[in-house]
Amino acid sequence: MKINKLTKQMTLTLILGLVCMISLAQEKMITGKVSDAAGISMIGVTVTVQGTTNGTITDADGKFSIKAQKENKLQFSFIGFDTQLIEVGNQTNINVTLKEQAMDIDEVVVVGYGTMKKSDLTGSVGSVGSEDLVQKGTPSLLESMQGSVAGVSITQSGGRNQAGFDIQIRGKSSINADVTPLYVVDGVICGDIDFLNPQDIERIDILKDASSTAIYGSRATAGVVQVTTKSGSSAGKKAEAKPVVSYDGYYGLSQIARMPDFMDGQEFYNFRFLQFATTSETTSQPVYRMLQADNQQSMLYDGTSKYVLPEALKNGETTDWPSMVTQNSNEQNHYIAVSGSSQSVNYHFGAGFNQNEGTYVGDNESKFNLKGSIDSEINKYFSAGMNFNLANSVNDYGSDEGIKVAYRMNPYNKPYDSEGNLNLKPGNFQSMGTAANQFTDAYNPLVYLNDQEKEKKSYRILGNLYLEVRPIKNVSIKSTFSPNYSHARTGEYTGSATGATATANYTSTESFDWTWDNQINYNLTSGDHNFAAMGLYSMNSYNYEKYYISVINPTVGTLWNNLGTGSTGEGEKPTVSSEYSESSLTSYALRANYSYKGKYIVTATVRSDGSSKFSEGHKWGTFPSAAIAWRASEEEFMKNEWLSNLKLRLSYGVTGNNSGIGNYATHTTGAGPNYYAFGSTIAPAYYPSGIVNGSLSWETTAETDFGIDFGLFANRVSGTIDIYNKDSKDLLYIRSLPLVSGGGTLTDNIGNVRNRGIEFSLNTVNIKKKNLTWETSFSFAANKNEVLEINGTSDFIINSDNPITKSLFVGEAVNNIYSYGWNGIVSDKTMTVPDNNASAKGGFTPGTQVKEADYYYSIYGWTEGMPIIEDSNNDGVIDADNDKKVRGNQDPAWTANISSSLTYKNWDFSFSIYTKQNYKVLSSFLYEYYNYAYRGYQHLNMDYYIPAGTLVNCGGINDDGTYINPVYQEQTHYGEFPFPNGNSVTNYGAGTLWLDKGNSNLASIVDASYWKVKYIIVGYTFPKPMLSRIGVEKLRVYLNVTNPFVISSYKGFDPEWAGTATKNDGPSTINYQLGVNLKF
Amino acid sequence: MKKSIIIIALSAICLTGLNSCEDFLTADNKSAITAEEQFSTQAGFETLVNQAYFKMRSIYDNSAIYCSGTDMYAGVRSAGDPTLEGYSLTSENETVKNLYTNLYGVVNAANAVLFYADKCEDYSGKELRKEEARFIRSYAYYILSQQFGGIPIIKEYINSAETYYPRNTLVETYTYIIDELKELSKSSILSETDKTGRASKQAAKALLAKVYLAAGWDLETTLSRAENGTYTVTGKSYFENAAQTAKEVCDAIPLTMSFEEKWSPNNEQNDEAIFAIQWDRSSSQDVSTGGHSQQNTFGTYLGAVTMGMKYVASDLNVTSKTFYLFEKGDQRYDATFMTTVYNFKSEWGTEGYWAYYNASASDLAKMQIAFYNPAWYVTNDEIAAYQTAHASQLNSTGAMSPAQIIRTSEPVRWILYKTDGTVSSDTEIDYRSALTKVGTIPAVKKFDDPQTSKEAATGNGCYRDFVLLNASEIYLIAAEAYLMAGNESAALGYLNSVRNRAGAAALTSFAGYTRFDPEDKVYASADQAIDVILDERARELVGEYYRWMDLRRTRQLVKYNLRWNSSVTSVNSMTGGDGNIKWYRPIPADEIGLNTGIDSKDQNPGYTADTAE
Repeated sequence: MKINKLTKQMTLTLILGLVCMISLAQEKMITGKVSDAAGISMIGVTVTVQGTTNGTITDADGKFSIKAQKENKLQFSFIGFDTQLIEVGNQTNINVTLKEQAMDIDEVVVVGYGTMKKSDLTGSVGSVGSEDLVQKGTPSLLESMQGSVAGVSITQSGGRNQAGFDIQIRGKSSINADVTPLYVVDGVICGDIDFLNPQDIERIDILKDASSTAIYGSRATAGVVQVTTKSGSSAGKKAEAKPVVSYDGYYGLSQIARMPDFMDGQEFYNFRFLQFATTSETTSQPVYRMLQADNQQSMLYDGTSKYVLPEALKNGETTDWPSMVTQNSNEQNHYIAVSGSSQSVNYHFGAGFNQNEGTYVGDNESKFNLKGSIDSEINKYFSAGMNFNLANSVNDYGSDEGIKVAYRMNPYNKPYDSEGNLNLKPGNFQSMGTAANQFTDAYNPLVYLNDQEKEKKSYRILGNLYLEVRPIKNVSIKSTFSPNYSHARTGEYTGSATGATATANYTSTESFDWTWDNQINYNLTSGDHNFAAMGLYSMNSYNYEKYYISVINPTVGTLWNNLGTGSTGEGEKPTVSSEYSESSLTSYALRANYSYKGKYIVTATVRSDGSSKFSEGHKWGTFPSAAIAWRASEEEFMKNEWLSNLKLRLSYGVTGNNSGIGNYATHTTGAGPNYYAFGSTIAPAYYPSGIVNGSLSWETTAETDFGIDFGLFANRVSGTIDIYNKDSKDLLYIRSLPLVSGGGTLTDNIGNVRNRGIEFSLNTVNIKKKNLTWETSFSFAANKNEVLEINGTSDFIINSDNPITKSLFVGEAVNNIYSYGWNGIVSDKTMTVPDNNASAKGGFTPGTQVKEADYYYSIYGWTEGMPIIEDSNNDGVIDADNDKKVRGNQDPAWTANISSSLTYKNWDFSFSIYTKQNYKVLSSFLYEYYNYAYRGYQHLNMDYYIPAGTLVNCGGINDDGTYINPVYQEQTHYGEFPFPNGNSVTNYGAGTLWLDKGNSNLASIVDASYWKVKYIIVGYTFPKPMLSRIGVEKLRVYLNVTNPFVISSYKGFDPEWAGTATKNDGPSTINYQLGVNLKF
Repeated sequence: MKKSIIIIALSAICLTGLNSCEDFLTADNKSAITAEEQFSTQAGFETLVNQAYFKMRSIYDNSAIYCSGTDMYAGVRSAGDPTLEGYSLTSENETVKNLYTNLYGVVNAANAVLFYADKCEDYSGKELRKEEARFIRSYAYYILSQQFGGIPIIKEYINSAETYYPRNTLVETYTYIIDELKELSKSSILSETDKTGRASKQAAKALLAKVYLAAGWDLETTLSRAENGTYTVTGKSYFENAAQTAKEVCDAIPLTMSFEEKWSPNNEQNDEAIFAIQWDRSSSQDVSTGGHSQQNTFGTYLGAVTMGMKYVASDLNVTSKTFYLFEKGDQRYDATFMTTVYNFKSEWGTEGYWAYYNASASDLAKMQIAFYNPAWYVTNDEIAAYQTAHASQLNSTGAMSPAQIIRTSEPVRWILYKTDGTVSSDTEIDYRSALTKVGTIPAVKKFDDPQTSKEAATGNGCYRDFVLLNASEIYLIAAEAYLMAGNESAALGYLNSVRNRAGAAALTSFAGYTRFDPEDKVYASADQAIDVILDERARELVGEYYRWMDLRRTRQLVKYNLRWNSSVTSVNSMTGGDGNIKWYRPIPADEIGLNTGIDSKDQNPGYTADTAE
């Protein structure tokens, strides 16, 4: 390339030289200097004499010299700057200041089935440009969008690297958990965008309000994410552009960070001792003592002479188990692309590679992307083009079981025996060297890590092919066919090291869908009037197939690759299954835009969708919208120095949704089989698949949005404010039928949910000087979600499987937390008897002073140290009907993002901070590591209550029951957690409501609000003169630190995924990336 | 011209799309056919009937609901379910909710059979299957009535969004079940008996006897004082019907086989098993998880499966009270409990716990002993004699060493041996702390499946049939019914039939019955005649899932728990916030929320929020 460039320059010089020689006498030499608005000399600016091939390029000082005639015009052009024409006249020295292109106003936004100038938008659209995405340095596109657009909440859903992200735009408008925004990649609707490499993205436009999304009708209730990948035309349509080759890449190290505070050896010892302390007293303040047998079990008596646990503590023989399954890991990302255009063809080709190891040993992900795009203008009437994305990813997963068990292992479990071999069961009597006493029979996590393999391979092909015809002026017809194919294969192998039968299975899924869009566009500009219309007919078809096989004992070492050598096992039915499903959608849509003088803008759309998911007569839904905008700043009376832009928008639209139901939700089929036996005759059993509702139809959302876009002081300060109201009705909801149906469920159109919110974003250029630029952007969003109606007959529905997180109440948020309340610990302090029914029930006189323990014991049966459960109606009984309440919301009250960038000379520095505030989670992690019923497991370090007089340690118990070196708790320790002990009647001191999955789970309901510094970047861009010598246009190196700081009161791994299931949970990491952006 | 052609062509394409639109919007389900199609043929319909039987298994998913909170079983480590044992349960309780849901799942599966029968082609056995479905439904309603009282009687298959299903009264509930079973027991199509697991007239009759008896207690007696278990009999018609019906069943099934033989793993589907939920290894999709865990439920932990032991969950230990009910000579102690467990070296199945079934007698005589659990009445001299006789077997060196002899008495005598067969220690510990020790309380062996695979040993690896209606139990139903109907001699007759078969001495009168009271170390007579029946039921039916329902039915629930359940300290322990005793299980909170026919006013006493002011 370097040689190429040199050759070119030489050729150019030669030609210029020739031109000079043959030039006419009236030509004169003109010299000058080109600089930018800040006064910096501009290198490489093309200076040509208009209408000739005569031209030159400015040197390192921004200077040029060129021969021209008096009547010529000189043209100065440079990418990203407005081209300037200057008449030569009598001048011989021309100094030019080039102005940066004002991107904000003429920015082109991708809307459904077309593009639009940002200034003409009537709806609420948030955009993220390619630089913003790339600089976050994340392998996931969704993560790189986090915090970029107000009102779009993106949250990592787990701590493992394939955990994925949850995205929610303007609150939860559906009751179904899995309603995600519609992703449209270069016009192709697809289920996710995880397969894309962030470096390949040109821009992302998020359509938020219903007037913008209504063009997607039934699929747009949760918002639309428009992804535009890089293409030949993205550099701007130019007749000829030389090929640009770019490389972006980084290499990173990721370090485990912010591990939860698990118990250390001493803390576990203390806790375990108490967990064997018992009492048979039935008083309010029982005294806890220890029986010999319990003491021997708790301290792991070896059966003959010694106690293993205290000895190990003394000798410091403890193990940090989490560190044995976690790792500090590597990541890398590379993307190389070439793009350019010739007379009538634009092209872009790219290839990307991304690899990152996870936080757990055995987790690894690598992805390849290939991308190609060609647009060609065949002649005056026809254009055609195609665009494709290929992605291949391979994910390896560490053993779920191993990871789960590793955290459960307490510090005393021994991973290796004295000879350094793995202990099969690190907590059993053999490993602990005791005759019978042990912690657990669980297998060594390291055994699982060696013994289990899981790999997922995915292939995605996504493309489109279009033909555009312009038969007459102002009319174009475009037909686009977009196939979308994905295939995934998952192989799993579990060996026999843990004594289980070796099993291997293979799952293959394949889905294919195609969309065929036929569009007619009409554009008419006449004087001040601008009119555009679009008509669409679209068909979409989707099908899915799945195949699964599982065998036992395949040839060792072949994993899932030679299942034929395994067997299905004696007496077992073969585990083979296959599945097929399909769905289809037909749509018509119309859109019309009208603007007058670019000041008054009106948009209207209507879309009608028919879905195969619904029964005859219920298939079709129609979704209209309308919006107006007024660019007040264009009015003469508003024109002034400081106001550069002011636009008011008002929109209303209706959208639909049917994603919450299955493809055959309106069919009842035979399901099964189960196997029964009469005597020894096998009897397969089949049953109706469920209860269906034939009159199911679309759920719809009507949204009103009012927005203001503003720009002040030449857009140094710009921003957007939106307020909206979103009413969703006829929600598709899988509701439980009365239990007398045997636990049946039914999908129904029930309920009505409202989201109301405000979004605010502000971008400021704080400093703009020659060598120093400082910009800040801030966004804020608050959303209030409220269930208005459930099913017309009752005002609440308790979800029987997930009562805490999935119950619904009129007047509360969809994602509420419904539970008992926890009001501290029953202590030995005195209290004033309140005047209520509960006191009366216990026979207490209001106003008198009594011991808390006596009070709570006689009314509720809670002894000292047990949790106090809130008796909301003070009737002396804790019961669900009266004492369970909505205690919070699982969605944040508000979220905000602040990011800022500073450029000083060649250095740049930027950071971003994201926060989610005021929300609660039900944490499976806390449930597991606070749980008092698990005596052999590791726990979080808890500050628990200990009553005075409790036996907290001893060196053994004699046969007559006397203690050797007993230690008693001298003064009550007022901890915030219940007193752990060995009394099974009180659920080991926790009571039945504090931490019991079946009933209530108070201890694991916590606030998870957080502040997170997402990244800090320092970059250096090499100076142009230096680069141009080696033929490089741009070279920047940077160091990026992601997630360096988190502030939260959450005690588990990372507040961002506090609500995840245990197997997806894991520690957060800090990543250090060294990256390069190169262009030539 | 060119333009026009293009426009026409494109329009044509669009229109083609339009025309095929309705076809295009019909999703083809290639992997299933509609339920109506599938169940309209004989073959398909039979699979639907199988499902109704299959669903019955779920009724016994949880053993604690039938056993916890009684005199016979006590949790120690993980306490089966502390809320059931200590009566702190609320309408939120998952176990209760699952029971309720599963029982109605059976009802709905049976109703599905009746619903699709009308749509199915005619074939000769169809009417028979309908009657079988009605029997299954009656069984579920019987358990519902015993656990919850009057419940919604639903006779139609639920396949709509309807939510209104109010509770029927207790009288309506009993009347409905009795009418159904009366009809079925006189059926002209049901077979007289069936040993393959299908409903029969005998099964209908046996169940009818039980329903009559329960109706008698609930409708023809009144409680005098809960703490004392005293009651007044106000009528006899149900009891008389119960006695008569039970008599007919008993007359047809003499108790001829020994108690050990009755429960032998090789003697499934014997004459005494009137109706049983069927299990079979060959029908299981996954041998390691497809069975059930009845064999793992009762007794204390015996040691790890890797040490050749049967896995025992130890959350439902048998109480000392139960052990003290067995007298010398009563064969049921040895036939119910695994009193000798052999040591384990390496061979799963023929060593360790399972050696008892799978090793030859001559091998057993040589095999090292891990545990020997003599009954409470075995004297020290007899134990000494045992030691002498088995001296060569008490020198255990295998996985479960040292050898132990543990007498199930209060206190427990606990002898540990050295590897040379001499005594290492000989101590006494109180029964309750013994429950926390490995192998101190023998496991119930009645449900043992000697073919249990090692992989499935801790889970659902048992494939023994689950006997729901058992002949000797119906004898005791007859005894109870005659007693309540005022015919003591007939009652004694049935009681003695059961005792005679077990080798226990015949009783001459209810008043003359005595049992050993371990607390006072004396033989004492029973408070009431019903205690005699309940004692006999305890001996005969250890591990069978009747006890809680027996105590509730006979109005002894409070008294027995007060006296023998250490988690119940006073009547208050069993009293709800409304001041009422929890005689029934609560209607699940979810049902009150979802079923518009039931609101919180309809909740069972003891679980309503309103105080009794």
